[in-house]
Amino acid sequence: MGDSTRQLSASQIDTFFTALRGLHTEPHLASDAKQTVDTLKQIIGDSDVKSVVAAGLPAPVKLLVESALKGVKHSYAEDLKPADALDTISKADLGITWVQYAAAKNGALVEVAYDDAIKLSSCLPRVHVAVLSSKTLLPDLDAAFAKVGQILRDEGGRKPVISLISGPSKTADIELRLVYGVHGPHTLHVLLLDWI
Amino acid sequence: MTDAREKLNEDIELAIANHPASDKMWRAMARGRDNRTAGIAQMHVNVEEMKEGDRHVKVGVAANPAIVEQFAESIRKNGGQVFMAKTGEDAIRYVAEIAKRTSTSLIVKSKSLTTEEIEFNHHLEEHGVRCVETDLGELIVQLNNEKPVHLVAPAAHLSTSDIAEIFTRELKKEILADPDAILREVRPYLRPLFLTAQMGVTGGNIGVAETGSIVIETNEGNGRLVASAPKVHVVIIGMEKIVPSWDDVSRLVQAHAVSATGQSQTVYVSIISQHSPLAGSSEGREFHVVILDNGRSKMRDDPWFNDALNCIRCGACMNICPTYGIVGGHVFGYLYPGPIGIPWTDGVHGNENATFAHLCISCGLCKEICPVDIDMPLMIAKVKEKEIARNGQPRVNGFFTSSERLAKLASATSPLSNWAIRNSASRYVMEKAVGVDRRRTLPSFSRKRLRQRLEGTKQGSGVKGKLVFFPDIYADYNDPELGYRAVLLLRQIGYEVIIPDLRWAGMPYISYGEVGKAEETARYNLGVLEPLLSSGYGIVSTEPTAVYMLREMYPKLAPGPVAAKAAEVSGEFFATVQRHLPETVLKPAFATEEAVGFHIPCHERALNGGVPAVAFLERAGYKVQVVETGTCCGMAGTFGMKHGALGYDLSMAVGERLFDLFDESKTKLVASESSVCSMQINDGTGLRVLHPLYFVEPVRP
Repeated sequence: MGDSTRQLSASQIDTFFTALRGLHTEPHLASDAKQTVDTLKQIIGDSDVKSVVAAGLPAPVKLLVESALKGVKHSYAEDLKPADALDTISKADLGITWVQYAAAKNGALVEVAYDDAIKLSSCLPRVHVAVLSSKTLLPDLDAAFAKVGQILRDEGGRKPVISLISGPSKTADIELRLVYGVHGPHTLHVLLLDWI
Repeated sequence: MTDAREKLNEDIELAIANHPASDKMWRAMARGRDNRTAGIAQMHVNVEEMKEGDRHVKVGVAANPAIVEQFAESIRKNGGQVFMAKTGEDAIRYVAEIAKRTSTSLIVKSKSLTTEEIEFNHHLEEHGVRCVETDLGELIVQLNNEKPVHLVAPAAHLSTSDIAEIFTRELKKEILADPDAILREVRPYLRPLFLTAQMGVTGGNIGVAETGSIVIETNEGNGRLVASAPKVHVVIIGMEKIVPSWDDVSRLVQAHAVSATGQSQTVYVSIISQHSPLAGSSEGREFHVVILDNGRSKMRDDPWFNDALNCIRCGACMNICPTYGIVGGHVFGYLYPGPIGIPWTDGVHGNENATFAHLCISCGLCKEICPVDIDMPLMIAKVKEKEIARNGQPRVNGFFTSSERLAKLASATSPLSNWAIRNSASRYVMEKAVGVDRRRTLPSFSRKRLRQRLEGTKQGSGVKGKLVFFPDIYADYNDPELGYRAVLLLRQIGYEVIIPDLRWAGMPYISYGEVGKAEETARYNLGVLEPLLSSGYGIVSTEPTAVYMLREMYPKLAPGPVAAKAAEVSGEFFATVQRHLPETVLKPAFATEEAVGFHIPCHERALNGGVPAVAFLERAGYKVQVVETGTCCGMAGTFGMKHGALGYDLSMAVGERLFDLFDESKTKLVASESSVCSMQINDGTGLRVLHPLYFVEPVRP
């Protein structure tokens, strides 16, 4: 990969992080495995967390998450039994989930989930940590929707549920006062991995 | 008066008296407009191009049977079940059967206007199923036994303490009047309901035919929970929401969000094509899509109403509607509130429920702000016409649609007519007999009309072009001096200016639902203009409303090449003058250092936003301060002259906000091009209000 690509990606990360901050979201960048673990540990430590649910993580990331979660009660959405999935995810204070793409300009994360246990892991806990690779940054919403269309057209059998997420859950239904966390997360962290 | 009209009047009276509520509505609406403006600015787009693009996505697509069928087919292919509901009852019956079969006792819902339309909750509860709204605003109005007051902000009329009281009642514990404190209770209240409901019901903001997908946009994330935690997910979507392909979705998602709240996208956009398994199990997990017609195909096939189906339900029209801003959606609405609620109510709930159409004052601001440029004023005129056909034209409306005839009479009998207009005894009689409010200052009438006034004056050279001057009523019958000054200035600039025997522009026919007469007037005037247009004349008027009629209404009232040409070459007086300002010498008529207040009439917003008139005043050496609320002054032609709640009282309630701004501005002289806005501001503030032309020394013949 040449230097120019590298620079382009750096400015795109900048755009992305600016958009995230504008959406009441905390961006984090991890350039290697160690930084990934440290950042996760710090977020978990700062969030007053009793239990964590993680979902949809690719194997190398899952290993790091596992090490960051040492000593913290946690489960993986993929391993849950249908009978207690809802209860377990709902009781988790923090959800760590993988997102497949993001629209840099708009700060929108694109989550592609084939199972509702994965989707619910990003919407039930009060803190959500979304993890993604910097290689999957797309320029804007138009590009994100083009990708969504492509995924849904290509799928022969099961179609995933795709969610665009742009900040934590919010409402202004009480006299226009903005309040976060009405149903879903009141805090959203985005951990962008620059090494995977 | 019919019962429905009487009820409307009473409701308006109550709403005007309830100042705290109308203040809250007004503030919420202003915030909505400001957010939208800021959001659009951030997107760095041209608004007109954006509107054109958004409209292009919907036109010809909304409720198109082939696209609906493709959508249904795609959902079936994905494994979902589709039900085409001809009526609301059909939809209810279908869902009630699923509820029975799946032993559903609790339904959680995310916000859906379409389910409000069919009174879903009420009917399902009759089947013994509890329905709980999970959008906070919807939940508040549900617990308060009310209907949403606004498409986007359902509880905009309630205060924090109202809401705290509602939850105190529901949760049977004291809750502080503080948004954070309320929210701390709402989350644990709703959470178990999300987790135990057997069925989740959502609407759909968009249906995508090619892949059979539903797009749901929320900020709270309740839609995500409703669509995934319960075993059964039912989508109830209007057939007009379906678009053919993914190519259009990005544009629509952004159009919804920016017009509704100024965001570029809502916090959550869920795209659902089937019900996913939960932790690997699909047992009992069902996905149903109810595609609702309920009057939509009838609207689609009606050329007057099919444009309403292009609505994307952003709520922008209610954020700018002046009378809605005072009375709110419970008075200005049936189940669908606001301007777009009028044609929709007529289409899906019947004309007998659309009496609130009379609240529309035809200011046209809804059309201006609409992201898909829906011509609501014209459609609403048609709804009024149907209501009048059933119940008769109210006397005072009939009086004002006869304004042209009356102006002729008053002009011919001036000064006697003017005496009658100023005399309190005759005004009392006028109020009782016709319904013209005696508190309103009315303009006087001139015996000499404009053409007589211009007799013997020199024609312009024509080097700059040829113009028809369209005086409408005011510059002809009331104040021919204004028309005289306008024509002379244009001639001095170098235009040849003629005044053919035109009728009035006919706006009151739109305002009061006499669409047939509006068409007739448009055809007459265009007939007179046709030979002039083909020999190269342009059209100019000092009355913004007249230009608005020529540009926006005539092409729809009398479609064809003549109307199109007339629309193309019509311009507001100062827009024409502006082209020659650098070489035009203007001598100020007033010696003042203080800024002149400027009011933008609604119809001028559609034309040029008052920019050329301000430039004219500045060229004459004045400092100008535009004073505005962002919406109408409340006069709306002759609306503010009518006696009672649906007239003077509501007009002044709308105007109050603007009058306050004029008070604060400390301006002493006000300029406005609209004859009627000038009356309103003068009546409301006591300030002297003049047409900008009166701010310069007249050209002498």
